[in-house]
Amino acid sequence: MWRYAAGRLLTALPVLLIVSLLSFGIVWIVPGDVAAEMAGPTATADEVERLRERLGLTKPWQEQIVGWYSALAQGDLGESILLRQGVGAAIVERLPVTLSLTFTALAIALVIGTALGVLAAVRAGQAADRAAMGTALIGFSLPDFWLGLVFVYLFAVVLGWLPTGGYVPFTEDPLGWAQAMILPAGTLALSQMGLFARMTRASMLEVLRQDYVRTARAKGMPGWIVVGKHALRNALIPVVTVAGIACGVLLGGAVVIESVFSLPGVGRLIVGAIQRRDYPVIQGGLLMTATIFVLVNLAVDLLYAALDPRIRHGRR
Amino acid sequence: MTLLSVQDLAVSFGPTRVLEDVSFDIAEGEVLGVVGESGSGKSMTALAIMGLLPTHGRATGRILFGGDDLLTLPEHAMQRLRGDSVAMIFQEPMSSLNPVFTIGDQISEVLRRHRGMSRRAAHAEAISLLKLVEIAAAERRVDEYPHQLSGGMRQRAMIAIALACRPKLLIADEPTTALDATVQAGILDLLRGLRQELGMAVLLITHDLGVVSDICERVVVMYAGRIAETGAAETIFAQPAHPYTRALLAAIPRLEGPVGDLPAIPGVVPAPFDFPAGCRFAPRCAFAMPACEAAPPPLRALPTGTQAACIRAEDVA
Amino acid sequence: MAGAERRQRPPGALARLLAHPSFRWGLLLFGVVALCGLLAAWLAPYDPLRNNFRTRFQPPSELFWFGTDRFGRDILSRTLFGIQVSLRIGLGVALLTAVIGGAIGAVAGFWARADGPIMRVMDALMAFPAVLLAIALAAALGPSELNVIVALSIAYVPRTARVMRAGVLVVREFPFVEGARAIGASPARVLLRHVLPNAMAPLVVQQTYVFALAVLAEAVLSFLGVGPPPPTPTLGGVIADGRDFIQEAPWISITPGVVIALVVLGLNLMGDGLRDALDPRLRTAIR
Repeated sequence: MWRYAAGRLLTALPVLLIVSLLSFGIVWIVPGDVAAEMAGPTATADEVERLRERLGLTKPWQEQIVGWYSALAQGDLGESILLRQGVGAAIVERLPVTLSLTFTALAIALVIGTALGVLAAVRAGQAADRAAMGTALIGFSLPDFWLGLVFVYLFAVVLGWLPTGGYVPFTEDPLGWAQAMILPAGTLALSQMGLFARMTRASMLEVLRQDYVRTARAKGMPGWIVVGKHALRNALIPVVTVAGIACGVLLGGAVVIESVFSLPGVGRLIVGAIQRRDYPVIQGGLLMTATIFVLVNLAVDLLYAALDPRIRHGRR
Repeated sequence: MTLLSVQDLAVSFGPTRVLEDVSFDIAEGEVLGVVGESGSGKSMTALAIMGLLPTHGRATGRILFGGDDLLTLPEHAMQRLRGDSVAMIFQEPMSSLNPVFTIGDQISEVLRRHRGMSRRAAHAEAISLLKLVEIAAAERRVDEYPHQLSGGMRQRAMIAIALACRPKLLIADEPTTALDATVQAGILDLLRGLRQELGMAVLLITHDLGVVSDICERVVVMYAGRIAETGAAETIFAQPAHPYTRALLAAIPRLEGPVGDLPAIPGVVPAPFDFPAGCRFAPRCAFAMPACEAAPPPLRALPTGTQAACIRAEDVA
Repeated sequence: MAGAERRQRPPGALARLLAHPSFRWGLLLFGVVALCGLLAAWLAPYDPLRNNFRTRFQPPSELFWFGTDRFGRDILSRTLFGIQVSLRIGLGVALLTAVIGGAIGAVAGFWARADGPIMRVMDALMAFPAVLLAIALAAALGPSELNVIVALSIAYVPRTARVMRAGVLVVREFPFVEGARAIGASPARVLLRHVLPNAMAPLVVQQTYVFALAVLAEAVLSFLGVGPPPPTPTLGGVIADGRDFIQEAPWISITPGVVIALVVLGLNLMGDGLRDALDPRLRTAIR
């Protein structure tokens, strides 16, 4: 188990290295003068020059990279010119919002998605199957940010049940947190819920054909234990691997969902930075998001090993 | 005392009848062999008894067991029966155990369901069951996963699951086919010993007449969804009355060798949608004559005490 | 027996495709919306760009079927022209990623030595959420339709490369490829003549889904203001226009969203149909 974990960690390192390089490199593809663009049209030549100095853009690119990595090694993601705040601090401050949005959405997507998938597999070819798969298909065909707006209109404006947006920390008011979270997380969950439903159905149909399912029935197990324990535990294995990838999609989706629901998260920070050309924040935000994605996938691989003893005990 | 009585069993999938006119009894403690090539309907018979036919399969006739007709018993009652008084083991020990649960969990589950045992008591019983099926280091093996066991050990574990509630009837569907020859012998010895020790009846399904002659008292020979011949194993081996049985016996390899599929009888078992109108063996039969193609011949009693479904049985013997 | 065999022989790919209900419905949905977009110049009742302050915030009526926005612009006309932009960008991304991702995946799958490094870079690209990466790239490159296509293509290229690589890895082991190698065909020839044509089916399926994803992502980019620059009418842009007025004028945002959903639904349905028709192996595996 530990050797497996160490091995996975080792393959994640080169990926993280390239990720950090790409995050830094985003400024290189900006056509024209980054400093001038950031300073805005009203800045004097002198101000632009000083900004260029602060951003380290006067140095040759090799030195810029060395500077980026030596700062990273000290946990320093640079400084936001516009927020007058360290990028790291700005992100960490907003991370709880984004993480609670992403993982609530993941939980909703997983629970409802696998339930739909199991239902569809058990009733394969029947009306319930078609209904579940139709729901799944519509789920990942709707633009989520638009659906968010529609939900705001419906539940906040017309019905007045829920707030139109904003965030309440869980530690302050769990009920308020839940009320603030349900629409954004539900909206965000929709597309991945559809994918989970499809994956689970396919995987479940495969598993239900296996000999050990027949064994479980021959042991006199009731249908719901055969499906919910013997089959599902095996069917979930491929679904869990997809959950890691889904997590990345959800982190990306959170960017726009936070904007729609006025949630003060990392996504809105990045969108704001993009609109104001605050490149250090864009770089740091990209790096942080991708790092979270890599770490989550690492965790998923370990969970995968926990679910499948064949992997836990090394390759057969 | 008759334990199980199968009467006029037929199984169909939509318009296709894969099994018909199947009738036989098993007495308490008896070992009955069901023999035939693949496609003969022997596994379908076993699944019908267990109530585990594939989704679209429909069984008619009667399967009497302990005063109930299993074919009319509601599903929840069948669930209480399965794994308790009727248990089954399968051909593929590699894939018949669930890969994500330990051997102990898979044995305990039956005990907890049918005997209401506590987790701890079931675990202890699982260890003694593993000892019963002669798995070495049972205390360690009980917490291992199927992939950590060899094929023979997995089949022993399957047998331990099946025996957990001391069933009155054990259905063994080709229990040794997927195993190496030396391991096969061990499993057969184990089954023979356990059957004596526990006094259960065994329905042994196999395509291997050698296995039948080893441990069965009576035998049912099946061909293309019908019974070809049935009776005491000894008599049938000495005087086969059905040309198919005769061909099967002639095909047993004389020398010790790889015991694989049956050596060639010319032709193949017809598929269910392709069954001939008359005797289903007629197209492959050396004794066939025009009358054979009229209708499937019924089983009839012979002076030897066996029954055969052949109009020329007297000429064959 | 011969008769039964003839009856059971599978029909050709095209016949199977057109007989597939998902594909037919998808084609119908996508086709109708696409046709509306293509004929926007004739169908649109108004100039999508012209402001008219006397008709601001008109709810749907006989004059303005889907209402007007805060500049008095006709939502229906803007939506029709927005379809053009979405389809241009979606198609552009699907084609560009097919060429580049296809090439990357083919090289990675065919030459084992290139596989590791290439796929690590693809993994790293995949580590960025596609939408976020596209937003950042589009912002950095500057607002233009071409830059949106480039940004989305970079974001979605790893998926295509992976699918192509997987296909090539399978086909590479087929006997006829071995045969071509044995008679001394050059590696490039083996790849182009023997491997690629047979690894195409999964790529076609994948690119249909990429088309759908690109249409959705373009809408996000336009919604956030890093899509094609104004005054180009985009579907995401029209939704953004209505966002601040969702209480008073919900019709502004609703219409373009429904259109996006129809296009994407149509493409996904077509993708499902293609998957079943082109690759029977995938049918059992994925559906």
